[in-house]
Amino acid sequence: MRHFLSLLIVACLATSAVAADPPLAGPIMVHPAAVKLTHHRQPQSLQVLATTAEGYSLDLRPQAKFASAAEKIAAVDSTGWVRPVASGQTEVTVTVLGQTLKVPVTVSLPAAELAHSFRHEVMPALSKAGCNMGACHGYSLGKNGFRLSLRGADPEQDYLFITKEFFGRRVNLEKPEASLLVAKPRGDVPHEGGIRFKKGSLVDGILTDWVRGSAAGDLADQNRVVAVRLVPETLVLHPNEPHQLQCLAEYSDGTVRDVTRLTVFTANNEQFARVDDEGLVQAGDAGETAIVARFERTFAATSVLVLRPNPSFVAAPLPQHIIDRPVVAKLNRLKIVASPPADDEEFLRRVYLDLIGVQPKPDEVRAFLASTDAAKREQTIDALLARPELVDHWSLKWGDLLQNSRNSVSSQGMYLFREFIRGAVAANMPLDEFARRILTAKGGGSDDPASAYFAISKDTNDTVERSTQVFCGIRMLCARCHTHPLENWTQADYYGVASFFSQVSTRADTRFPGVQNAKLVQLNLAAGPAINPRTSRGQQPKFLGGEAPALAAETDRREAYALWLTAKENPLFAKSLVNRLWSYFFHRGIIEPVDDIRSTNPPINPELLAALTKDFAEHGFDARRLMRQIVTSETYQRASTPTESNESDEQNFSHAIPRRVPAEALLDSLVQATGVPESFGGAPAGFRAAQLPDGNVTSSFLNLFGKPQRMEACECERDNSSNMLQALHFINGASILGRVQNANGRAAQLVKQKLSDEELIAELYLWSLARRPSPKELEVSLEFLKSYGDARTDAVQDMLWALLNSKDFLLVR
Amino acid sequence: MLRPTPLLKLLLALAATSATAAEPAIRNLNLRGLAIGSTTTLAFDGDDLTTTPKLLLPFAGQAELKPGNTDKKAEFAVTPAADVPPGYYQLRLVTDGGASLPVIVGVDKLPQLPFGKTVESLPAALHGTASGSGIQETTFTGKAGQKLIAEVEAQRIGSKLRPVVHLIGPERRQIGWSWPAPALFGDTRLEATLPADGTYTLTIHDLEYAAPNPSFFRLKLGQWSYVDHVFPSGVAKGQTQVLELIGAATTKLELPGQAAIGVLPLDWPQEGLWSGPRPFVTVSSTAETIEQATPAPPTGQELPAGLVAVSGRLAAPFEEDRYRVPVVPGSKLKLEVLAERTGSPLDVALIVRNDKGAPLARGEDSPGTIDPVLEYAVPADVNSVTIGVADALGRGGPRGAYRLLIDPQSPGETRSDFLLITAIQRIAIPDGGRMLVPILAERRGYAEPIDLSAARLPAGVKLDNVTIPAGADGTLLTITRGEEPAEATIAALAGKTSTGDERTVAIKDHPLARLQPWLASEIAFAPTSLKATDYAIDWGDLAADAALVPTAKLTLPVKLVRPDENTAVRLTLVTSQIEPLNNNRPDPARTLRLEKAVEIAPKMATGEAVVLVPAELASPVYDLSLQAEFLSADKKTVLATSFAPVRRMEVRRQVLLTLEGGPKFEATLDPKAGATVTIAGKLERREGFTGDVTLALTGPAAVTATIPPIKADASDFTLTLKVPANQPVGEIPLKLAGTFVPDPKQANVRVKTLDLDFTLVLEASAN
Repeated sequence: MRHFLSLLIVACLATSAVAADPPLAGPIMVHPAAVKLTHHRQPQSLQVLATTAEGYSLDLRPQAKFASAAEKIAAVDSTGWVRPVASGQTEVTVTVLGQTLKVPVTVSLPAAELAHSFRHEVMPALSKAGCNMGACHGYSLGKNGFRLSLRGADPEQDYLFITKEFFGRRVNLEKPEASLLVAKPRGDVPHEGGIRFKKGSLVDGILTDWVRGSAAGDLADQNRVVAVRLVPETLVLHPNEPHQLQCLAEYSDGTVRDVTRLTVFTANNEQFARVDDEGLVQAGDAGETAIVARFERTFAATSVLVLRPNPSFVAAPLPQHIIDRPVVAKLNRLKIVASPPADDEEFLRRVYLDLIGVQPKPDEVRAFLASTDAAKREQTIDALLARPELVDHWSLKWGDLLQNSRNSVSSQGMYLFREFIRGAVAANMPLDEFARRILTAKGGGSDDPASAYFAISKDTNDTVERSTQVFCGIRMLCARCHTHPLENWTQADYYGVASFFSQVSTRADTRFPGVQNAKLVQLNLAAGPAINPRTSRGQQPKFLGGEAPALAAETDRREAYALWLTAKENPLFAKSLVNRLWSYFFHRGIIEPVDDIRSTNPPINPELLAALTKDFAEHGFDARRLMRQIVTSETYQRASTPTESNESDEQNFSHAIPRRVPAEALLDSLVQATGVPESFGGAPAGFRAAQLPDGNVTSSFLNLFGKPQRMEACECERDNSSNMLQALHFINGASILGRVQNANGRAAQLVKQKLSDEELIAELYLWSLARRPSPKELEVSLEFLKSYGDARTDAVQDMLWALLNSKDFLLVR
Repeated sequence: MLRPTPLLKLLLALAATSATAAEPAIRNLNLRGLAIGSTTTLAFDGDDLTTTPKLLLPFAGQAELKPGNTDKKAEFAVTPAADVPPGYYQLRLVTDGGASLPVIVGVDKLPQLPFGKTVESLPAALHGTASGSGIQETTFTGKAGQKLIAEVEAQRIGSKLRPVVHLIGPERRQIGWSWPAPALFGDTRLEATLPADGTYTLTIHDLEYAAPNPSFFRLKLGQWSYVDHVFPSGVAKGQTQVLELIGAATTKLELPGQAAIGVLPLDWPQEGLWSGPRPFVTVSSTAETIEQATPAPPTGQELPAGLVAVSGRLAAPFEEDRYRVPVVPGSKLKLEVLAERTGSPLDVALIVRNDKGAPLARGEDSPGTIDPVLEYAVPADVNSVTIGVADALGRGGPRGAYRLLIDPQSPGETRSDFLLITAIQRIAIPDGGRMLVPILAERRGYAEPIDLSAARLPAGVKLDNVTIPAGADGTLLTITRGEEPAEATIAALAGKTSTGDERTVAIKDHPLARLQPWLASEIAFAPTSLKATDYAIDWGDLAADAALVPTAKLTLPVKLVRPDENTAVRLTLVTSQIEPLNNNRPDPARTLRLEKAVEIAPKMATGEAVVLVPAELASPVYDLSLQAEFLSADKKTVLATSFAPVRRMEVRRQVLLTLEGGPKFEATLDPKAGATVTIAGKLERREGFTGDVTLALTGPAAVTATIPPIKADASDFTLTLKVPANQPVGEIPLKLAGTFVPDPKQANVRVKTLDLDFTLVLEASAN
């Protein structure tokens, strides 16, 4: 109905043909289009919104005039708040930019004003004042003897603490305004937490009036907030421009309430936008962030884009490619001109490193450069997708994520799981099947190699946290002990998922006596659900953010979870995997961090993520297809050199952002460049770094460059940062010096080939940087060689050392 | 627990020197398989092969030595007869120096080829090695829809390779992979339907890319038939039974009633190309039952009382089969399931339930296996229980076979069973020579004598000392050979009780003991050209009644014969004792052993060895011999080995206990006062012992005893037992034992007498 009314108003406006300055891209909208008021103390704000022809959001409420047709039914103030007076129908007239809009208002009040609700008024007021946040009384032990549930997770408990504890000293029914509940946060009596609200404020009024009304508890009320929405959902603002947000809460009984005044607003990045207690956004520097709103324990977010005017910007035509289209659309909205395509050498090295984890060899570079085939990039990509190194490279990533390690399982179990992962990558096993196979595995490693996944878990909680982080990109750890501070997850959500895994445990695999960590994953179908520590009761199985399914007794509950997780329509699985895979080719995920997906951490390009997610699910969760889509896109193939337009953009994929080559790829490329292999303690002879079974290998190089030990299911365990020790290692470390000076190494081999100086320099560049020297580099290199006179070997070694120490070797551009 | 293996391994090593270093040794073999009815060239690498070795075939066929052999290499053209059943067999080389240890080969009708880059036609058996981190690769041409099996035989034929197989399609995408599977004893099998025409690649590598030696494999590639299980796996003696041979498909076979118990290899079906280990069933003297096809009542299928075996199948994931068995209150119920150990995919849980289905006890694993063993003590008021066999991990299906053994044991009842084991796989006997083979009895309640015999002995070979005495650990079976010519044979030893029960002597820890158990009893007898009379050892002045007295020393005098008196002789004690263990490690303190290493100097024709007799000896009698190794002048080579004649020696204990009127004593239990029982006993001191003895009672904690120490001048004693009023009536097994110090000069050396078992029978008071 609301939608219909909006359309009606839009239709009315369309005929009024009023000129506006600045020019608008569409009609002025009032939100909500119709107002329904059913409670004496629940007014409704009106948003007056428009979009300029340049795409900027306009908040017209400050300049709008509001008038009620019947003040005895509903009153409206100058800021657009409509308040109920008496039951009946009327309308509010909104006049702005010469236009007049009418908003029908229906007031249906109860015969008498309702008593204050502890659940729906006091609890939100306490949250708004910050009384129940973790740093205050929401701390698990409370503060100064007063304990509240974190962010109001447990109204029943809070009611008892407020009204009953210490003989009810916190409420003074005789003199409500003297109640400690209000006197302390108001500053009337000393309060360690300082003044939380002013006398006469909304919160003060709610709390005082609730006490005045006998501090009643409406704990039996089953009406709950089911969703919170922010209006508008996206904002495009000029620097320093303000814009009001409206927060609407939807309840389980179908009612909608304007809770803007009781909502807690925060900005994810205050450099780009701030927000005040009332939801007024103030744009900052040009950039992008999100405003997060929390009402009770439910979150919503509005993305805020701050743009400088750019009248000369010409929008790029939208391509058809599934990736390029939303990326370019976003760049157009941001008025950013993308970088041109990378040249062949830059592209080739990047795609080799990203797809197979090693640089191209000189012959491969030369062949690619020499080819005039228009489809040579696609052909190269297809060839790389069939290379055995691809299996090494991507199995390593999965091995890291799934924490496959001899620390947790037997050596044999670890190798079996490694082989399972490699087999899945080699066969391009659909990722839904891959996840199902893992999440339903049982027995010992020799019965089902994927069972190592559960053998690795310390307990059921560990399984919950690993599974949600790896396969949903969600961090559930917080919700183990309390309601998640940044998302809607509660302990009921956490233990609801845990109940799918509570039938699983491990025991020693007696078939392998004396073998350390030989475990057998067993199922106890009769095992009950996980115990929610908050209620001390079994938490029935409940899908993460989904329903509580009816499961037959004594069945493997993991089966139901795995099917739900990997269903095409699951909002979490495909999205998280797409986001994660994307991040391996760019410097960040579409949501970043990739394994911290939540409503308060929105994607940088929702259309891009949605399109890829849908396509990924519709095409059978085919990882190679997704990889191919990514690397064949213009977005991926853009140069790393920024333009004047995109030099400050590092979020919207307008150019390639140089990244440090990951540890294993760096070492394998180093071995390839120098022709001197690496031997690893604790790994089979001849293994490349990308083939290493786990982190239990001896390699100071890999440790220094951030190879993870597989202790966490988090991408963050891999450290791809750069530091001084790494630089020193490249300058003086044995890994480089020993290889460069090796008598059988690349430098020695090239010297023996009796090449001309130009040829020698070209070979050194190709082996080390996978590209030819530029004319300037060639000139400098020739001078360098000449400066060594007859000491040609020394010259070649030193030059190779210098090239390996260059950024071009250390970075993927 | 007794573990004879270490001692047997030592003896094996000693026995291996008996035919001098000329006993042939096989180091490698080019192909680990033979094609039935076709000729396969086998090339052996080894040592001491001589130029005229023979291949000792365990089946009908021909083995022709090819020219060009050396002491290190021998080639044979081997043609198994057309009717040789497929399966695993053991091959041995025989020379004048004796027989080699066996190598296992797979025999079937597949072409036997070396592993190469390409396989021209399928099916084929490809033989290769995947050492260290190496990955072996071969290619073949496949068609869309073609069914393919790739099976690696490695662990089953003696390799240490942990095989992993990957099948890669024409587009370089992996089609499938397989890993070492418990059901295949650590080997692997991949089955696939090929998706397209083209060239396929198959790779093999070690699971941990670090294959221990030897790392050979036999890869069978193509299509053939195999049998993984036989259902039921056990049949009762004399019972006709339809058997299911379960592989990729199931074939039925009617087995007529069998007269003898033991392992029975089955005939392969007439039609088809069969390969793999030969199927078998166990014919038992136990009642054998099959799980009923019709749904059983909730309390389970009714089973008869007594020892019974049930063959069943968990046909669906997480299924539980239930059996209701009558039990005797107060008895023990020993339950065991054989599933994983027979190659079944099941992980079985055993659940004892009451008549209402409530679980009373549960068993999961047992040492070395995930098959459960459970001993359930039946409460006093229970006359039946339901036994559940549950699929714990949801692997039930057509192959989910199991065999449940139910062994009810009433109070005082003992099972009567035994196993016979040896470590000797080959015996090289010189002309007129003597060899000793320790045959040890792992007694499981059976205490009576066991008589040994042999089948398929070479001509002129005789066995002596064939009886394992009552209660003894074993015997030193003595094998002697006359001087007439004889051919090497593959023989088998067996032991029989006075009641006719027969058990084959098995090679301990034989790799095929579970796969083709009959191969674990093969012992090669190979005559050698060595003249035994040239080197000999005999007892010197050893008393005819020499015996073993705990904690005493026994001196064994010997006399020697050797052609060259300038050689030294090393003496080693050989006994029939099962090596006692302490925390799974050999316990020298309880082992008959030499006081010190003995080497008789050159030119000495006599010498002696001193045996330390431990304080505890469980067996009443032991066989002893001394092995003499005649050394070369530089002592680096054993020229010959000889054994002194076996002497069977009684254990003479210094103290014997007896109870008057035993071994059962009755008492009436007063509901208030309990019971007090007084038993008179006697103590007999022997072997010169005259000291004090301290007695101790072992039994239920509630039963207490007052036993004063028995001083040196006393031999009678009185045992006063007190039983509390709340003790359940019935039989209470008790043990009485004494400890004493045989030599006052060594006060820390105490000897324990044999346990004296007796039973207190408690009856309820008539009041």
